Amino acid sequence: MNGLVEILGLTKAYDEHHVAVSNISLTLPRGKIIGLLGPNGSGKTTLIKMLNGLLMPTAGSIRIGGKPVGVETKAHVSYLPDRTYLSGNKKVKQILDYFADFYKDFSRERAVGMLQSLGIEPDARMNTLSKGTKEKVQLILVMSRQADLYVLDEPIAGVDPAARDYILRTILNNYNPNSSVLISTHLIGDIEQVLDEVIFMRYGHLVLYTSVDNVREKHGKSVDAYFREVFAC
Amino acid sequence: MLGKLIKHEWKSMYKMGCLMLGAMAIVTFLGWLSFRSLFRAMNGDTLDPFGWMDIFGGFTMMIYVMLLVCVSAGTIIYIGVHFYRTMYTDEGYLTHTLPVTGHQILISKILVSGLWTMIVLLTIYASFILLALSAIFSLEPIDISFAELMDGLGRLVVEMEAMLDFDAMRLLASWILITLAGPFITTVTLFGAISLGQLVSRGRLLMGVLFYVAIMVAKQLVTIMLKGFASSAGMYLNMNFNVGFIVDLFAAAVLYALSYFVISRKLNLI
Repeated sequence: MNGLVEILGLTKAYDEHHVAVSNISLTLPRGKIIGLLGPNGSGKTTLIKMLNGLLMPTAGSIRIGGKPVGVETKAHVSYLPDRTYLSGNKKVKQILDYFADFYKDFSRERAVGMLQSLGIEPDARMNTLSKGTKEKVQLILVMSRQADLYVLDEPIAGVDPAARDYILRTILNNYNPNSSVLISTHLIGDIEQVLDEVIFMRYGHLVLYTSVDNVREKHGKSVDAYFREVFAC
Repeated sequence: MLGKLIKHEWKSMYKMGCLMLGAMAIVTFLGWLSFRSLFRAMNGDTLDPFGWMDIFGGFTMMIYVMLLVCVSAGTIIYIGVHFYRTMYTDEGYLTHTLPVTGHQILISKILVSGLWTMIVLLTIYASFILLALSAIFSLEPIDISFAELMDGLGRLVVEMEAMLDFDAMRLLASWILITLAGPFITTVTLFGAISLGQLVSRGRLLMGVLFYVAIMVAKQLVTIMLKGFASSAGMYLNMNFNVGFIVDLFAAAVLYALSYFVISRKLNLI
C-alpha cells in the first residue's frame, strides 16, 4: 500500500479521565484529499497536533514517509493551525523570508503571485490585516510549499462564503498530486466536493475511514447527510 | 539551521535592544548632568550651594538610579515575554513546526537574548564609569591626570588586599567571567522557569514567574549557605563570586535540561 502516514495504536491521554485520542490505527495514502470530521471534542485537533509534533502521544506511533515525527517529517509536512500563528509585528514580506529560510520546498514566487492576486501588499504588517486576510496569508504560505502532507485545521471556519471558495480553490490548485491533504472541519457541506476520503472521529475513537464514493454508494447519502445521521444528538 | 534561527531571533529582538541602548544613553546623560551639578556645588563653583541646580542634581540622580533599574528589569521582562510568546502561545505553533531540533530553538534564543542582556549590562558598566570619571574630574578638574588616577586606584587596591586578605586579580577575573557568562545564565534560568510553568494546567505564565522567583531565592540560599564556610572577609570576597557562579552554572544546566524536556516531551500549546 502506498502509505504516506502510518498511525498505529495512537493514544493521547491528558489524565486517566481525559483520553483525547484512543487507540487509533490507520494509514493515509498519497494523492488524496482527506476530510477529518467529527464534532467538537472528538480529538481531531489532538490528532493533528500529534502529526505535527506539537503533542507527544501517550502510546502508539506515527510515521510520515516512513519516519517518526521529528525534524525530518516537519520538513515535509505543511501545517495550517486553527489560529493566527504569525507575529503581528512582522510584515508579510518578512514572513515570506522566514518561510523561504526554513522550508526548502517553499516557493516564494508562488506565494507572491497568490498575494498579488488578492491585492495583499508584501509591505503590509500582519496586525493591520483583517482576520480573513490573515487567514488567507497563512493559507497562501502553507500551500506555497511542495510538501508531502498538508494538514489544515479548520481552514474555512470563520470566513465568509467568498473567502471559503477562494480557500478551497487555493487548496485544489496548489497541492501536489503526489501529496495528501488532511482537512479538519465542521463545515462538511462546503468542503465535501473536494474530498476523496473521510475520517469520522467521536470521543477520541475512529468511527469510520472510507472513501467519499463509498459513503455515497453504500449509504445513498452525501457525506454531510451521513455525518448528521451518525453524529445525531 | 541554527544560523537562520539566530538571524531571525536577532531580527525580532534588535529593536528592543536598540531602544534599551537609547534609554541607557539618555539615562547616562541625566546622570552626568546630575553629578556635574552636585560636584560643582561641592567645589564651590556655584554661588548658591542650595540652589535649583542642587535640587535638579539630586532629582536627576534619583531618576538615574530608577531608570537604570527600569532598563535592566525591562530587558529581562521583555526577553521573558518574547520567549513565552514565541514558544508557548499561538506563535509557538510556528516555532515548534519548523524543521529544527529543540536544542537549536533553545540555543538560538539563549544566545540572542543573552547577548542583548550582556550588551545592556556593559552599557550600565560604561554608564557607571563615565559618571565616576565625571565626578572625579568635577572635584579635581586640573590636578589629576588619568595615569595618576589609575596609579592611585592601584595603590588603593593593594592596601585593600593587604587589609582584607583577598586576591584582587582573582576577583577581577571572576567578575569578568560573570559579566560575560552571567547574562546567558540569567537567560537560561528565566527560560527554564517559564518552561516549568508549562507543566501546570492553569495560570502557566504566572506559575513561570513564581518559579523564577523561587529559583532565584533558592540559588541565593544555597550560595549563602556555602559561603558560610568563609573564615575571613577576604575569603568571603574570593568565594562570593566563585560559589555564586558555580551555583548559577549548576542551576542553569538543570534548567536547560528541564526546558528541553518540556519542549520535546511535554509541549501542550493551548
